[in-house]
Amino acid sequence: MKTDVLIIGGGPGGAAAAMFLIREGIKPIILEQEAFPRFHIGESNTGESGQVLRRLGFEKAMIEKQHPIKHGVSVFGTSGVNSWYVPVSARDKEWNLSNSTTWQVRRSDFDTMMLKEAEARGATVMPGTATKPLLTDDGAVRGVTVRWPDGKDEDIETQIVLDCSGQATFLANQRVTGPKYLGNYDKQVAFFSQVTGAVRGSGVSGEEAKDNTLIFYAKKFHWAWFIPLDKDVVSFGMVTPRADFLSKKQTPEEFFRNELYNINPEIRRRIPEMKLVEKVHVIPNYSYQVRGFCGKGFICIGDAHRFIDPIFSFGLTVTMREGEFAAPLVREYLEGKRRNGENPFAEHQVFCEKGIDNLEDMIDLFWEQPFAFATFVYHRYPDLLTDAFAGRIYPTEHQPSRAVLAFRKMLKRTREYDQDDYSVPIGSRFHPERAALWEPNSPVGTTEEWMGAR
Amino acid sequence: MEIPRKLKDYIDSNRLPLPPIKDEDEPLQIDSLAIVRLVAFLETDLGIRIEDEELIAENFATLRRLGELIAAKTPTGPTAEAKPSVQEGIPTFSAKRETDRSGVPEQ
Repeated sequence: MKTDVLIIGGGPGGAAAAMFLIREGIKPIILEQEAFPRFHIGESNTGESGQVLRRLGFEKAMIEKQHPIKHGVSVFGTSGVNSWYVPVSARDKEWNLSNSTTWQVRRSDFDTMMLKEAEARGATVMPGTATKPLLTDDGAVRGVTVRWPDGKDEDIETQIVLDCSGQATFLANQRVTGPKYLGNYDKQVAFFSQVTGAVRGSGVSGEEAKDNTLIFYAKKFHWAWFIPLDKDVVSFGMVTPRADFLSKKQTPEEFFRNELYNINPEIRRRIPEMKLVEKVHVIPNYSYQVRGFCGKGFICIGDAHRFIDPIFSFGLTVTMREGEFAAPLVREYLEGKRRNGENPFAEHQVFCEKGIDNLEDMIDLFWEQPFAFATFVYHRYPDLLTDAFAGRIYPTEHQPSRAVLAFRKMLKRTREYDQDDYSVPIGSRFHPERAALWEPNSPVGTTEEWMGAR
Repeated sequence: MEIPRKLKDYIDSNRLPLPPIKDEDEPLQIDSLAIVRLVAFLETDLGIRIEDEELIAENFATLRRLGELIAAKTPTGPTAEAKPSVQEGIPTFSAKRETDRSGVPEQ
């Protein structure tokens, strides 16, 4: 089988990339191994991912499907008494700031809508699993071997692969990319479920809007989220150090029920009764970064190349934005441009890295110095922080902002980009002893293997 | 360092119902997000600039620590960057005392 563009993964990253490609006149194949709808975590949009959905023409559908409208995010301090609130914001062409809204989504529904719409617009969705990349003699990706549901293998020849495989990091694990490094956050576990009967805000807009995201802070690396999914159900999860869970010797559900109220006093008010309507899911929560995530014949998108920390909900934003950025570059590649250099997408790669670096500096400062961070949000750089929270993170004349530069100064961190034009893991998240997750002669095959049983 | 009257009053009023602070080594007993407001008050109302590197909760633990922090600083007058009280697209801050939970419905 032959195609111009093969997208691995039919989540929002793959579906959005497909729809942006279709706008460029390219009809891709999307390979998705799971039957949709399926459960997925990562349920909140930012201001900018809301704008992506509007650009793709989904505003009417989002309203009709009654996805909860998010006006902002409140972060409760340890006492549960005080909170700071960051509104979802937008900028106009003159860069004037205004309030905006975006959507919370039940991922099973949202992802199905996105994938179906990509198909309706001209993408071909095929149920299969990418098992092996096919490479040319000079290392360019020229396709993948796919295993179909009947167990048969087939090679799909393609000019370019977009790896939207999420945390499976297909091309990185297949060693097509550069090495995959562990990041700063590697000892946490997330437990999550869905609850009914939760107490939401009582207002219609602003800080008290009923469907806002709430974050409950406990201490470094201990926190919980509250994200309304529809009029009855709220996604609720907590993140704790793995050692805390292991030491208690409880099942995930026991641990979840027992520990949740210890995170923050506000939680008991918000969730007076623990009525779970979804099983308790557990995932290890660790950050990683893939170097060289673009190259001849491939681009990795979203979690397929980098993940930092789920706090503040940037997953959908990053993956859909990267699909949007990639689409015109893919068209040029198919037109025969960008074929001479070593890495046809080097600029895109450094552009995406710089954006996520800005996010990472913000998240790191939140964990390292929450008091200073809150002062920045509330008092020092309020408008610049709403930009970051809204996902306006990519390099422009506005980023890195004075706020991001202040984060770096406080983290005693500088950002440098080496001659290969992608970011060098630096600062608190770089651990030399962890650097070689895999190398050509390493006995360690994958990140998961290196990290041991969880 | 003498603590300005205005600052002492501000702190006392923000730790109600606790009594006014008598001992300068007594913990202020205001939570970290209330200290954020204290920083804003120092800069905006008293014109005392706190450096980013000084934004450590320990610097605001007692009146003595606070006095040491601001001793070397010269008030510059209220900062020009003081923001209007209501502005679109700007984060807000809620200090909900236990007695004032009007913004959140009770069960």
